[in-house]
Amino acid sequence: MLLPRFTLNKLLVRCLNLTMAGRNSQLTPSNRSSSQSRSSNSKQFKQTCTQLLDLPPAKVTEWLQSFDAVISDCDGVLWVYGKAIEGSVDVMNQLKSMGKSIYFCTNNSTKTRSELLVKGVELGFNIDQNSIISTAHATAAYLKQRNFNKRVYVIGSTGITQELDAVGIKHTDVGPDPMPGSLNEFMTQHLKLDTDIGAVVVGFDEHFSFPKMTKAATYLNDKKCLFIATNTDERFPMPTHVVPGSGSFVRAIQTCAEREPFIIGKPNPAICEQLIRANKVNPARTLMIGDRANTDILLGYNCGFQTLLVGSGIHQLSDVEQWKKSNNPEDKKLIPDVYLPKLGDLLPALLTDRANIY
Amino acid sequence: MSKAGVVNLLDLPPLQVTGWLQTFDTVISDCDATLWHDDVAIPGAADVLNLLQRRFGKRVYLITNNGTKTRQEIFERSQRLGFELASEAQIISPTSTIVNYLRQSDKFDGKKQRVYVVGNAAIERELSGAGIESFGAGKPEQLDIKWQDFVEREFSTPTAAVDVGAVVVGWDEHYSYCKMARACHILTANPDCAFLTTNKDAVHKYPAYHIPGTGAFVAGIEACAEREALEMGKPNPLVLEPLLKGSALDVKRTLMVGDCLKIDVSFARNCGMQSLLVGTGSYQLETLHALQADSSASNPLVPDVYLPKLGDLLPYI
Repeated sequence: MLLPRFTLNKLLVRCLNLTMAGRNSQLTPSNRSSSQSRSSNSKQFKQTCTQLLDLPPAKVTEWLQSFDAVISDCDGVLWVYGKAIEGSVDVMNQLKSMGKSIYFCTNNSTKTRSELLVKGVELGFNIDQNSIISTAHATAAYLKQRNFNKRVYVIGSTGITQELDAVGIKHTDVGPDPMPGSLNEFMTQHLKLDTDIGAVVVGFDEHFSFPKMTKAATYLNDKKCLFIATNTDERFPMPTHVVPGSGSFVRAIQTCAEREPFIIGKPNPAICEQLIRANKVNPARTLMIGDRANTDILLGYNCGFQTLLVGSGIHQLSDVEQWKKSNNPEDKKLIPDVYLPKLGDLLPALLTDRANIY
Repeated sequence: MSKAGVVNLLDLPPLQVTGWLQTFDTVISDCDATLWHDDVAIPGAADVLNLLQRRFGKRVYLITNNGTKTRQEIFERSQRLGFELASEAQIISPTSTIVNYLRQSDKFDGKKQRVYVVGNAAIERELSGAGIESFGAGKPEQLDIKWQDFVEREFSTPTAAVDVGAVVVGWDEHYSYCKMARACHILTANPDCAFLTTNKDAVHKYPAYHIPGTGAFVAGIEACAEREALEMGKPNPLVLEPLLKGSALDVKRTLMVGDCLKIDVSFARNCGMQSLLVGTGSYQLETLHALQADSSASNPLVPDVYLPKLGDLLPYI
């Protein structure tokens, strides 16, 4: 007999409180020392790509209790393009009601945090703005933290410029910048360079063009000018087509600028820097969920998180097999702790988990 | 002659220079900033190459990474500027290397397949001259709808990639997202499709501006397509193959002349040729000495010999 979800949640929280004798009722990171014995359980799956669906329920329950925070990628894990992936909403909301802190972490720089929040809420996810970690927001925060007071040349979208506006950082406009005429006309009449550019930020830009490349290469010739990439995913996640992502635009710019960018997004741990520093998450008791190993799982590795790979996006079990066979130590970092075909597959275990509490 | 350091020919006694002149039978010379700057010949360059042919019986070829002109157009320029070459067959250019490559490729059938060009009209002209159909060259293509709708409209049917046997990337001031997306779609839909680029020069540096080179255009497509383009220009030694096959070239007795350390001297090294660096481009003697001092590489790039300009050879010949 299934109780109404609301009642179930309350009972579950009470049961969790009772079963954890001698501990505070909240599994907060401040209980780090008392949770050490629990976090040792999480090491048993370390980089083994254990298939959760093959484990007995008791083991899954144990695994569920080994983390207090969940950081999940969005495209390919929670949703694809405009639609939620089956079961993702229920799983994330259940994890939240179990008392876990939930964060959405996306490399997609085309939306502001509030736009991502609207999208998530519309799809049914129980989140607030502080749950969202996005590269556009993190880029603005990165510059603000370093007291950046010049102008940013942006190759990207309004997702980035609006976040810069929100922290009071000046920037150039985004949108189309096509060749106005012949190359000679462009160079002699139209090419106008700003004198106060202190950073070039490159993200996803469907209006990428030769004039933009010329401006970026010229600005970046000044070593003092910062070069920031929101992310380096070479392909934009799209179910049916291979299309260029931010990483392709970044590669073009880094080639003509002859410089490497500072990469804000996954797998650079900088994107979770604030969360960890502010003690909002305890890395050993944080689960990173993703579909792309060289961004999501690698971020997990870099931050000391536990990792779950889902097969509903970019990488599959067959890819993990390759990395297991590989001699390259870098490939080992891509192997997740555990695996599920899709996030929604966790739902039966979550509901069983509750039933077993009785 | 020692290969250990940079030798300025002007520092050597004349007899040694004469001796050096006899160590090669063929000269392959770069064009831009070695023989000419656009349509203006560098003084003495034409005389030197003409005399090496007429008086010394050496074979002379011109080689360029300039992918914005056909081989015929480069030949015509060389004629205008006073270089005496028998025919366009003595010009090695990216557009003609591309045509040679496609002609001898097992996978490309010029009768049934066409080429998608992210590049300028010269590539199309060279291909068309060889009876190969192409599309996309020299044309702007900007987004006027949402990119997701563009992708659905253009790539949802097989026609976008059907019968496209090669993607060629060259200099394109109309480079855009749309072109990147189309190139990626074609390359990932047709694994047998050739992926060629005229050259991989990363950037062209002018005092007030840095202009992206073809290398930057191709890098963006390589990233998305997860494939590397084959470089149809220096320093890829593949460029010399037609000459090696067709005319019994002895690379050890061939002198490569150029102004760019990274492209011309490494091309010479890749092919096993001798190298002469001229100072009419971005590399002068002081730069070379500084590079040598800085370099921690076990085998730094150093030309065999150096001259401020090619015309400086005149007194010796």
